Amino acid sequence: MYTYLLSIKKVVLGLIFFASGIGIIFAQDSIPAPEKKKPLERKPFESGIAINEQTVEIPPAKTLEFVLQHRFGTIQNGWSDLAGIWGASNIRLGLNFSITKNFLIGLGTSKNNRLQDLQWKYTFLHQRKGGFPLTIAYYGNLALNATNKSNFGIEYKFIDRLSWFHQILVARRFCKMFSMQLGFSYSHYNKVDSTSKNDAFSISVLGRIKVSPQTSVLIAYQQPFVVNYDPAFIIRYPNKWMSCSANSFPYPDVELGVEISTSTHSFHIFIASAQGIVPQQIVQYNNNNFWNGGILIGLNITRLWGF
Amino acid sequence: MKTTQKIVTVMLTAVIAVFFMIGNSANAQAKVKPWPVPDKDKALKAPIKLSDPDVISTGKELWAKHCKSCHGSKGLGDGPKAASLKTYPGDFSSAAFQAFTDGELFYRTDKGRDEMPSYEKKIPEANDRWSLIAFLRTLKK
Repeated sequence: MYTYLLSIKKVVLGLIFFASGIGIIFAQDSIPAPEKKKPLERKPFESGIAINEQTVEIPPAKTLEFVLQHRFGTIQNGWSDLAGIWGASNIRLGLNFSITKNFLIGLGTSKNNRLQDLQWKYTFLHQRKGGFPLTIAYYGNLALNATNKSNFGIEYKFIDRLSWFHQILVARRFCKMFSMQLGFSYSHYNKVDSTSKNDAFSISVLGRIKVSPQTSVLIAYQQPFVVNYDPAFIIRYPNKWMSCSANSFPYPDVELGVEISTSTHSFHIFIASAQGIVPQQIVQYNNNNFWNGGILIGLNITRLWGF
Repeated sequence: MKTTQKIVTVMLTAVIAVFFMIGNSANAQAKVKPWPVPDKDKALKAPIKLSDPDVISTGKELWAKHCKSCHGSKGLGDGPKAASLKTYPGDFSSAAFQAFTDGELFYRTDKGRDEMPSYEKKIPEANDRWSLIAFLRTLKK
């Protein structure tokens, strides 16, 4: 029990340290003021999502956004299921609303695990020309697994259905052609099976290369770091309270695709390894090893309505 | 045989006539109605240099994303969506269009009208909307 609490303490201390680090960055004298006089840099991404990643982008205030995300099955069965297109799929339908130009909330429903999610995003710092060099946002969600309670074992409680995800996104538009984003996340499932852990961190990297005014190439990688709460494991390997691997479950997510954006739509067509769509599914439950044929085709469509 | 020839001739004539009418109806879009602009907006000047190549480049990028589908890549009103519009999107290369002041063009881009959306929210930064005006000036014949 003591060792378990010690591991929790490490997680909490890690988060406090990370948050303090962000505060120290903001407090530095090197950040010029007055920021309000410096014009905003053009946005680093066209849409609030890029393949499987959230981005720092929020549509203008009072904009309703419809999001359709579809992931086909993996290509491992070859032509027998048309490279996964006829295979088992995952789908998410979502609606987001920008309450202000910096704050968005959204609802979504997904096929896998019948996840119902509530999400929010807040962009609290913007990159400015000749000023602050980054755009920084916070994204979070709360998801509910709406499958039959028999899936949660014999000591079922409602809260077993819940999971959540928190992420800090740090982006920069380097030039007209290239933008990049780093993501640092923490996710938690209240109830997991014996093959999984409750908690994980992840680091993600996303790059956008703009090849024409409406077309971009998107590349992303997300590496999970699973938190090991097994007391026996921590006693034996105290420095290994967190583990990650590119070659074992949960696998990292590798993403490569194309974005076409118009005034009101954004389309992504891509290959990736994770069939999950809600971020904590991608981080903690990716069964597909990209480098061993665990590749699937996916598409995203977003549509905006301004009010 | 002569009766058959007559029938075929009549049918061919009818088909040609139908195609002719469809072709003409596709061009029967309403002409652009007069679009009055308040005097203070007509006199508005751009806060940025509209001849700056970077500004024009930004405008071109925004044009491609937001405007080209209706107005066409050269502003001739021949974009892929243009035929489905009730109103002809206009020829932006014409002397009549280029005679509008920068303020008039900015006002109409901001406010929109009928099938033309308002871009005040879609392109929230005012300087970006001015960069569109800078690009419009390059469409002149």
